[in-house]
Amino acid sequence: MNYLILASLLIGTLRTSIPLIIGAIGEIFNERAGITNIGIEGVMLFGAFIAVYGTWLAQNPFIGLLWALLSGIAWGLIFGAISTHLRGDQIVAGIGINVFAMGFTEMMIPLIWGTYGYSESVNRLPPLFQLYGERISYFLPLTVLLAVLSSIVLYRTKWGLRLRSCGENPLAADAAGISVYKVRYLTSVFSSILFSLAGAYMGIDWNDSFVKEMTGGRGFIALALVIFANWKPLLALAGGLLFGFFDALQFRIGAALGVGVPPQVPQMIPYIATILFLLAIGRVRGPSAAGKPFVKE
Amino acid sequence: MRDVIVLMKDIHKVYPDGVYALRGVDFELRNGEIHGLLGENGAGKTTLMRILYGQIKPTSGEIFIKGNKVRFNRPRDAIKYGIGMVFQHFALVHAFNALENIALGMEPSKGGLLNLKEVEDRVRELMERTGLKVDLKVPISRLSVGMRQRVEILKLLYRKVDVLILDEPTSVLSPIEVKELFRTLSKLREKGKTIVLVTHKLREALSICDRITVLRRGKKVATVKAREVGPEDLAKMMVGREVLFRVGKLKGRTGKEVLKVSNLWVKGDLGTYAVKGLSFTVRGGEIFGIAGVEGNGQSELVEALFGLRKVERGSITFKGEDITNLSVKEIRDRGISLIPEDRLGRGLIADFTLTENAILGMHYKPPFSKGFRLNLEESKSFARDLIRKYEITALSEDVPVKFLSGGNQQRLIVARELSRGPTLLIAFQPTMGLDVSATEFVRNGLLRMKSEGRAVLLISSDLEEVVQLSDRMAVMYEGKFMGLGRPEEFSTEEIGLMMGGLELHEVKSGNS
Ligand SMILES: Nc1ncnc2c1ncn2[C@@H]1O[C@H](COP(=O)(O)OP(=O)(O)O)[C@@H](O)[C@H]1O
Ligand SMILES: [Mg+2]
Repeated sequence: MNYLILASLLIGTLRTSIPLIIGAIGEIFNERAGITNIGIEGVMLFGAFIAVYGTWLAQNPFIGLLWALLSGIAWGLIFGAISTHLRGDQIVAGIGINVFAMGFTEMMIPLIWGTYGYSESVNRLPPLFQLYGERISYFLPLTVLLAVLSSIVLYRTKWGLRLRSCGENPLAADAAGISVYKVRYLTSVFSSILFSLAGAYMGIDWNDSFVKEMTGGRGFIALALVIFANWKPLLALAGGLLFGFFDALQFRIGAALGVGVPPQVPQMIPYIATILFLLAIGRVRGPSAAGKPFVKE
Repeated sequence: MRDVIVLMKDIHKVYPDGVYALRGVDFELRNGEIHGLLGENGAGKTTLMRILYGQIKPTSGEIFIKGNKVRFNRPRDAIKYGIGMVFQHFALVHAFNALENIALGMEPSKGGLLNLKEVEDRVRELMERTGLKVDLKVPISRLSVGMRQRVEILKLLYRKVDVLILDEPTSVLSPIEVKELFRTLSKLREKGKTIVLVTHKLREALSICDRITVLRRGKKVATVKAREVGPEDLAKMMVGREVLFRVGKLKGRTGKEVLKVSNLWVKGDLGTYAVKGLSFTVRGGEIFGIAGVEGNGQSELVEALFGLRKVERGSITFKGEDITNLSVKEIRDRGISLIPEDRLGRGLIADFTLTENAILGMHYKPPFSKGFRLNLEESKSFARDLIRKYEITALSEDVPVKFLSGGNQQRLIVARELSRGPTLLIAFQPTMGLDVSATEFVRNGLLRMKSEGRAVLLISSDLEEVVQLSDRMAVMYEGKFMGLGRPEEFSTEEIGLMMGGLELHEVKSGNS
């Protein structure tokens, strides 16, 4: 019995850590290229919504996944424009995305499904296999692969070198003949695709419906994870499992406490853990030019 | 013509903001020479070279490389034709090591992965041939300035350029590093490279260059063989004659000594001394001017005087009281005002209104402040007064100053500082970038201060301004005064020589 609880806690950890790790890796790419997108949460939430909606319409979760992919591209282009040619304030834009996604998705639920706060159930993506009656998602091996490949791309290829130069000193990158704007656009699109797919995972793989605010701040925890991981994908993988553990623990403890204790009490666990982790690592230094617009001449 | 590798013909450049930086410059570079590009601040040296490097486009004019007409849209184009440039402010990624910096933008790959080993082999070979030794594996942030410069040069050699442009390469180096750099440049010349050395230092130009082109105010004065000229000739060309007309100066009555600086030593941002043992005094009723090319320690001197930078050695005395290393507030409260060089950095707060800027620095005192509260009415009427008296063009006293023109911003600063009635006014580049009427206005303000018996310290790289306004002047070079005296005691040529780094006694005895 205890053994089963442990196993399910571990599987839960794997499950909850996936969106955190994917989100953090996307943001690592962003900041390494000199972009700071704190709208992870919003893009994720939107991705979850659009994936469920697409799946519901087509009765096919792969169509939902495709929609989320397209939504990620669109958000990436928008944010790419803001952080390059438009020279907007990236923090304000990120907050804007979060607020918009929250309001828009909540508003759309009754318009589409006629219910408040949650959608109809839809078909989920097929699982890789079942373990002790728990689904193991395709996203799990893909996430591990993403972390490993990201690390190789960032540190062992010329594309990684160029991307990182844009986040450290865009002037130097420019002088070396690298198009800073192009790198930032591409990076923004790539990272937003990741955020959006992380959301799709939550909507049509982990769960089978859209619930308002269902990302529950995981985009923000991913942001903290970036710092915790010192802007390194492999550390984000490890750190994500740690953060995911507390997220899974929250569900377990919530279930164990049963009624009588307000659900918000166990729900605080992952956030408190996040704050404690960040306090523990103290001051860190990210890419020098992250979040700063690049202006030539 | 034989061996001409670069030919720039009738180059004009007007910057987007209307500055006419180059007015028809011809420039010729021959294969295998070290060519000096000499001129005062703002002569257009950097602009000309940025055009050759493809970083900016000329407004008109033609460029030929080995006889072929070219059009560069970006530095990469210039590099393809074998032309590379090292900027005054290096373009290096501090978090990367030298190898990564050198490879950036031209990275060899093997099986999809970055092949830094290949870069290293090639760079080691280059280091062997040129004597430019650098630690390739530590982050740039841990290298000295001289080492960083070597990385920049290696970066160009790695890109196989034939023409190296170095913009004021010695301004950040210690004397020993300068010697090493010159040794390297000679070696590169032996290997057949062509080098452009941008500088304002006469002796440097003469010691290493084969030919020298002198620019003045966006025009080419001449191209000469270094062997055939002396520093006097160059100084004359650099400064020109027509600029130094002298106005009859009001003989103000000079009063008591107000500021006394003795043996002042101040460090620059790089941790080396930028001000090296300066001593001078400024009296009431006089303007003391400090001329010299920018970046010879003027900023550090001003910051030290105003409490913005630590004095390492020596003392600053104001009206008999030692004010060395006091805080800015304490110094201001004693009656010293500053017109800073950086208008929107230290002079004004761009998003604040005229009113708020007008009382800045006095905002905590009556009548502008009552208890905890600002007295807005009083402040506004004060601002309106300034607008009227100093002819500031603005819609109202409530507009943020970022919407004012540069000239009106400067008028506001001058108005504010003069209205405080300071005993000593430090004016640092007070007319830089201003139009004629604003310039006139600021200069008249300084003269009025003097006629009221106040002391004025004017630090400017505009030589004409210093000569015209000052009662006494000094020429600053690498943190020291090359000479000090009354402007009319110096000839144009002598001032030019001092600006180029020769001391007055060397100048007067007529050798170099
Ligand atoms: N990016 C720019 N925008 C507008 N004006 C500029 C710019 N760069 C230089 N200038 C102006 O062009 C003139 C020539 O400058 P520059 O080429 O830097 O001279 P130098 O290198 O000889 O000191 C100066 O008046 C300077 O203020
Ligand atoms: Mg210059």
